[in-house]
Amino acid sequence: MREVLSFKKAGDASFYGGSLALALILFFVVYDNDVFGGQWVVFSLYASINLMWMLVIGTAGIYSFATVAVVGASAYLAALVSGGSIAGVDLEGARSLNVVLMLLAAAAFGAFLGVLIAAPTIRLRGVYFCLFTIGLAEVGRAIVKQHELLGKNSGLFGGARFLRVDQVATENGRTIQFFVGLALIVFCLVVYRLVDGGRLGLLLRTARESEGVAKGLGVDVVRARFAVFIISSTVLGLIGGFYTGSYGGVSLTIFDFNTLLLLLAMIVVGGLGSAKGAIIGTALVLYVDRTYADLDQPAWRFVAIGIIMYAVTIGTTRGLVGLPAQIRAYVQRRRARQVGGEGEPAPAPAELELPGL
Amino acid sequence: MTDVVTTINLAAIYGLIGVGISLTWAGLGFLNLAHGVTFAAGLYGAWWAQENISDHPSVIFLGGIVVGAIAGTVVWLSVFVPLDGKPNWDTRSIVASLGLAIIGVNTYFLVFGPQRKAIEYLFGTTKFKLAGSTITADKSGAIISASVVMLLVVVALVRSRIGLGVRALTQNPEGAALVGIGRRQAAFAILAVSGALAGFAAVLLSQVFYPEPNIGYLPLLKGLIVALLGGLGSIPGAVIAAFMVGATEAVTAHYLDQSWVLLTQFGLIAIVLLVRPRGVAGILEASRA
Repeated sequence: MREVLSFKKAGDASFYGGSLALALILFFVVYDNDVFGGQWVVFSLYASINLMWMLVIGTAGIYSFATVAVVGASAYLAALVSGGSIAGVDLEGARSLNVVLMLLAAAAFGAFLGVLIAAPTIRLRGVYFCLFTIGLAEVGRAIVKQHELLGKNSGLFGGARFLRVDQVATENGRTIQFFVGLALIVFCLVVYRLVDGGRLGLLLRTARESEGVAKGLGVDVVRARFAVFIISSTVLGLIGGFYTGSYGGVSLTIFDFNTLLLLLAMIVVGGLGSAKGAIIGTALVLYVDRTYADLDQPAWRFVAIGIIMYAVTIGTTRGLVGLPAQIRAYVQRRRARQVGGEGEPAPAPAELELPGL
Repeated sequence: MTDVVTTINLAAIYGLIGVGISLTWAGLGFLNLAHGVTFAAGLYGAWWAQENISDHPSVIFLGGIVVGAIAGTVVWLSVFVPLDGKPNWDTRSIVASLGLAIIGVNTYFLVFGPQRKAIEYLFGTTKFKLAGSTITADKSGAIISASVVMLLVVVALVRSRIGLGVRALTQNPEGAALVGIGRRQAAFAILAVSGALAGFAAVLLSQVFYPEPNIGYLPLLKGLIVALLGGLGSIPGAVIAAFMVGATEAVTAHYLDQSWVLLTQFGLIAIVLLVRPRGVAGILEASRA
């Protein structure tokens, strides 16, 4: 356990230490700023979702698009069991759980959804599984949209919150939100490192490179895939609970395809297969998203995100996180050529060959 | 009878979109997520031709087809050409096409605004009776023209030299390269033709899917469903899948409600894919799985 949690490279330690220091400095500089408080909540939720999604899409190499749907469904369950209702309608039932029980219920529901999503991996691969998960997300949206109990288009609000009403938009409230968000990110990072750096991560990567070879080596591929889906979905369920706890409810927009695209852009821009990539991508894309959000034409923000996504994909092999290695290798190759083409050319950077669909 | 005609109508049009996606994947290993934007480009092209050149149906059709083909060429230039042969081609091509789709949809917003545009009825507004049911000229015209175009695509694939190259690529990419089939030229043909097919399908669907920025999402989803359900790379499979998807849509809309359509279609996918994980007629199990 200690080995898994230790930093493999000095760069990792300085990255996470630096990020934590930056977050704390930012917080203490602008903690009286309501806008920062709001952005931090969004960042912590998105970064946490991306870390868990990275386990599935990066470590396991399975293109599941049901990630946000798991968060959405769990957030709905959290709102429902903690007393959320459609505005003006008081639904009776054994609800009104407190925050902790609400989070546990959301995590348990996430685990259940993880089993549901993992089951088809026994039969389906690649784009077939990808389409299947898009379908699952659409089914989730359709169910919510048509069910009176789930608020249809209005959503469910009035569920358990981390803040009391008198704490909202106060320095005290923002401090609580900041540390709740930070705790969530750190928890997700620990889970990521335990899975990705542990035995399960090794098995998943082996299966990702070649399922046949993995089976030949005695790896129980199905079991490993079930494990990663259940672990990531449990945490995604928990994040759903945090979503409800942060906003007091949830609406249908969480199932929007645009939300999924935004999160995918973050993962891709940062770099597939790396926790650092998830954090960097989330920060950058969210910054662009919020910078352009206030313009008269909100379409510009998606144009900007699309251009970044496209440019990073065309220009880098592993997203922004792999760019320094790519540049170093390029410079080395150029130098080797300038010397006169004698001797061995510098080796290309170690590529993370992601599995094909 | 009305349901049967609606099924054939939807199947014919979804088949055109699905075949484009299917050929692109089978021939190039490229899941083109910008196909929905290409569809929307065809719609806008048809509308632009109607507003600026003439409202004659042939001009509107030509506008949709030409702009669809141009959009397909843009995908070729901006995704295939810079990424083909590079590391992580499968993943990067999908993501680049997704980036292109995001740029495209929002550029439509900025250029054309969020308002829907209207395109004239292309086959007139006459109706006739068949086995006690009323059939509109729009539906019958769409069925006949889509079937003819599909037939032309099949003939081109079987008879033409470039079609032979495309088929060779879908069956064995390495073998095709060894016998001198140019992957870049074949990719151009595949993407331009699938763009033109999407543009044509867009014009046929223009009385249901009006030109608006986000309009490509649903046709892309239906095209993906048809292509995957049919088995990527198989035109007969895509045709069968298009009928299954069209029938599910027609029956659901008739007996339940239009809002249930996606739900039942994904139910259909779940059942078919769990029974046959490579679709109705998957021919690429070994090479692309």
